[in-house]
Amino acid sequence: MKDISFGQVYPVQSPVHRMDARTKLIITIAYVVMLFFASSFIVFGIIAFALLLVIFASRVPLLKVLRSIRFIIFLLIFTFIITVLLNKGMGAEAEIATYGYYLSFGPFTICGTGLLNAGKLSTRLILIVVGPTMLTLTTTPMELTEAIAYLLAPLKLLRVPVHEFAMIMSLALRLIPTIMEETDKIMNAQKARGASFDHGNIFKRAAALIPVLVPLFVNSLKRSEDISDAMESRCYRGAKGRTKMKKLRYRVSDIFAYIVVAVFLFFILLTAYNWWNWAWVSMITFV
Amino acid sequence: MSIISVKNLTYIYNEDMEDEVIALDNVSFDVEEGEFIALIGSNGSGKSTLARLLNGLREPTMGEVLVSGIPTTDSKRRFEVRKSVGVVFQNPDNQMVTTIIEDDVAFGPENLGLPSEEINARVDWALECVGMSGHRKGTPFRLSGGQKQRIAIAGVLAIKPKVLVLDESTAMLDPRGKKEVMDTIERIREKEGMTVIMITHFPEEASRADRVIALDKGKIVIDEPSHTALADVERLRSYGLDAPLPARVAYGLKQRGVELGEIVTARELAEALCRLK
Repeated sequence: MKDISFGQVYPVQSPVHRMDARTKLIITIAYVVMLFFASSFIVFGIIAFALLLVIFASRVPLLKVLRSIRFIIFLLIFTFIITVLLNKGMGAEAEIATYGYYLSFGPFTICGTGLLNAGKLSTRLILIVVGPTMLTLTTTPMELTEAIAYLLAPLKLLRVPVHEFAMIMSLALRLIPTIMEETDKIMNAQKARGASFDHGNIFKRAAALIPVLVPLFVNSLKRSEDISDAMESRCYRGAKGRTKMKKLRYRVSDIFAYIVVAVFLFFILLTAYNWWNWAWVSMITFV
Repeated sequence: MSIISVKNLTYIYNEDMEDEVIALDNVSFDVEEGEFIALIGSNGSGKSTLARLLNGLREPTMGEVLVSGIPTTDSKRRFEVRKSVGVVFQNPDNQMVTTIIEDDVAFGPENLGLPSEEINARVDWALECVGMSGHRKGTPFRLSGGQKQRIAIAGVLAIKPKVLVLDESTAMLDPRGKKEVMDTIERIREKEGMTVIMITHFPEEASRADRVIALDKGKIVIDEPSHTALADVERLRSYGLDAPLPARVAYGLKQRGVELGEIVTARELAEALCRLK
């Protein structure tokens, strides 16, 4: 079977694995918020360093975590090139004065500001993918379901089916490897009949995927029916009367984690807004 | 009272449409507590439909299914029906709801609303029954088909149903996986005295049961003790079914003038052959 790091727990014991799923979910949300407020390479560096500490604490191999980037590699390259080419920076003279170069050809330009912005965008994209990967690598889908249901609980007042929503999320995560495997099988079957997926231009390749997607879609529908039969056979009837084997429980370490993350979030917001005009803040947000 | 009682059951797919298919046609039988029944039939004989009717996943077109006296169509008491009749399906991948084995086995007892200690104890017990205790904290993705199917059986066992229905649960497995699963079922029967209904198209597996019910074109054509049912090679063939290999060997010998008597298992065949000289 293919090794798919996205969505699957890396089964080791660690403080990160043991942490309450709700804490991890909230920290992940805070982390994404931080990334949107971070605006300089130094701040990105600080966030990346913090993430690295978490990765080491989780005992998940760094390579395994970083492998999640390959899912967005094309997006990454594409956005980088587009951002560089379309960014006119501060105009030709100012760019040459600051960075010493300004290349322009037709509607496209390459300039210092553009490169810098594209670099920041790429860094942000990478961090946005790697961070939440840590959540799925250290949290079982059942814990995640519980955490999502817990955080969305207030919506129950509005008659939103919170438990069902969380269950759908968790089943989707559970099915990623199964569907990947199936895609592989169907692709091989189509190859055996002479289909080719790595020749021709991008449109031809996309068209070649249609004979893969159609059976995949049909099979997925059949599979969902089977799964719902199996779930019902095992007495599933939604949230009604359902209890849990592993209850979510906050420990002292969770409170500690919340405090650390709150301080960290405050720090990032400070670098973004610099309410008190501190000199050191402008220093680290300069680059 | 019979634990399951099927009365004049008819099930029709796409009723009153062009592609109407009569999957089950006026089927009746009773299952007593502790029985081990093999339900056999060729493809399209309606046997998998029957599995889904036994715990109320589908509702009969006509007739009824009673589980401990409760009709499966009674939506208020359907939960009781599902608690009594646990079904294990064909594809283990489509029965796993989550990616950690213990969480998956716990899914059923969690739905029953049991306290967390009790769920824990049941997960331990169920995994012990299928011989997978060592994998409790692991994930099913790296397991073999037979091991995955044993996890699926544990998931149903943890509910502690009175009847275990296996809907072609060995069909997708390799010979080793098939044997693993069959041995597991036999062990559970010995230890827990559970009622088992095994739907299969492998005659060798059916020979392990006490009673054989054969379906052909939606009708029951054989309902006998497994030994007499499986030894009759000609009759099974007329319904598109194969007798177990030892029975076929004995049949072949009989046609060449060597009378061995009623034979189903390899052991019986060996003993009969030894008596010949």
